[in-house]
Amino acid sequence: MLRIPIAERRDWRATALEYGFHFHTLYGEPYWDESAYYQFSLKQIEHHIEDPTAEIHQMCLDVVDRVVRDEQLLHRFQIPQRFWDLIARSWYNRDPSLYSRIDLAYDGVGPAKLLENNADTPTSLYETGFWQWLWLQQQVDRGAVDRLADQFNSLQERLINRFQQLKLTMPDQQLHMACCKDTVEDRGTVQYLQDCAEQAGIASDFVYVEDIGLNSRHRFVDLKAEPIRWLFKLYPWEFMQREAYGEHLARCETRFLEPIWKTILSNKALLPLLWQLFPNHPNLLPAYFEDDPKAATLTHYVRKPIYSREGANISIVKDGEVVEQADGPYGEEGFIVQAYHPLPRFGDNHTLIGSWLVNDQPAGISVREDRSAITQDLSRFLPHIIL
Amino acid sequence: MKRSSRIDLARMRKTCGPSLRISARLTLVGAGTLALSGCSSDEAYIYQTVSECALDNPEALFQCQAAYEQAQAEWTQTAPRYRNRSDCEYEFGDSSCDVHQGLFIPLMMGFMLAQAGGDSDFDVDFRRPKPLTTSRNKRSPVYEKWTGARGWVYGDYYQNKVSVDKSVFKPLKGKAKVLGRGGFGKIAAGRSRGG
Repeated sequence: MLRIPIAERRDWRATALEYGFHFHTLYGEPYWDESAYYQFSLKQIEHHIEDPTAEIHQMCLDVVDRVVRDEQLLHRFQIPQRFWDLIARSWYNRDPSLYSRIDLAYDGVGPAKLLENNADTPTSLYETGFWQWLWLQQQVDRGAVDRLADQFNSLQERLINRFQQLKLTMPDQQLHMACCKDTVEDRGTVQYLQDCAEQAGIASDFVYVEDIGLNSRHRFVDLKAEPIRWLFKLYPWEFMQREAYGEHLARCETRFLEPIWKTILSNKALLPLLWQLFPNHPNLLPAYFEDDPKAATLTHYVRKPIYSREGANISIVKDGEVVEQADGPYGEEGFIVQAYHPLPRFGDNHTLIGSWLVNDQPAGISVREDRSAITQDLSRFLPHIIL
Repeated sequence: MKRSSRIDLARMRKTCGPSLRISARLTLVGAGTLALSGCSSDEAYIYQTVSECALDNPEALFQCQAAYEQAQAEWTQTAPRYRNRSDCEYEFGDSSCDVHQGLFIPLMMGFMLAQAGGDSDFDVDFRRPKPLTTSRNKRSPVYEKWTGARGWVYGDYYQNKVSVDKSVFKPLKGKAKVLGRGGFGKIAAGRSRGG
């Protein structure tokens, strides 16, 4: 695993415009960064990332299977009681999922360590599945990257295939896609999924989450008052369950992507449960609920809210002192602690691997860098190759 | 190869810019849907009685009965109404009208079922029956024609298989009322959502 500087494509901004990549610069800071790339060996990719990703995912599903039938654990996961049945039913039906991303700390040598699972609303999909693919294609064509170079990135192909499978379960149905207003990044992610769905032959339409309505038959509707029968929502289940329309989820007859059983996976309580069910697994870090007496065995740890996004409200504690902290609005549902495992450093950068799955198949990686030890939404995205 | 072997770049290109592109897309999707409902047609079967339906669909007597009843119920809600029996019979023929809630409506003379989609257990879709009537009065424009509550003509009286627009099977009345919007999205305000 190497970080190799390379000249930017001189025309990449024009290319970004051409392909509709509009969030390469966020909050005035570069987000897409092609001044360097990461190089992995095939063995690193397959043995250290791809295989563990599939295995971690299966372990996570084991946790879901355990939690849905255990009231005490459902409480522990801070899932409102009125959704327990709905979640269990969705799990027993095996309501199909589309995708997820697990975040790994990996330095090219030791086993990759699971930091968390973004199973419900993962972003950076477009830049992974399409944009870094195009970067490699062009850099190889221009002779800037070895023409034997490959990339761990079958994301777009697998998404389209997955949509083709899902289409069979919802024949002739339109798929509505939703995200919040005022976020160009989320809109870009959803636009990409619309493109993939349409390439799979699914008719799609878009509605903002805030514009979703409710009709007199307890159906969610779009702005044209048409019922939403099938909805991809880039919006967290834990929010939906706590909002005004949450009470209609059981009756609305909308089929959701991701399915509601993912509430259990996109929850940091997953981490102590994994450690409890698979103690000392090489890809896991010790993790406990904060009020568990065993939490005291950790002297250097990361404290994470049960519900949080993008590193918010995370603090790193060493020997009782907070050494690094990220602010945010989360934490009222409680915290978990996870043994501290530093992200590998390349120069000044802390590097995080996002490992993607489409349904349960590993599908590629994204590499993000941050100047701080806690990766937040100002991190930069770098392309990678396999050589 | 560990990466997508081929990506259709032409389909990924969005040269007209983001907002334009999105609205252009919506227009296109909208137009496509309209075109779909405007041009494409469904095969449909017309039955005058439950037993005629059951003859055509063996093993579906129960479904035929239910479809008939559902059509009948819809008919009493949606059929054209007349103040006088004579006005109704002028349109539909002698002994062709009935009293409903103090007004006169033509009798339901048959019901129409759409051909079912690929995954159905049956050839026809029993869940969305369409009530029909016809006229026995030679002066009526729907004399010996099948017509529905809106007055569209679907075919001649002797036909039992017709080709109709898909939109025909959408419920005529009772588009559910939108009670409100904005029940989702409040928590996100001021928080980052991605992951």
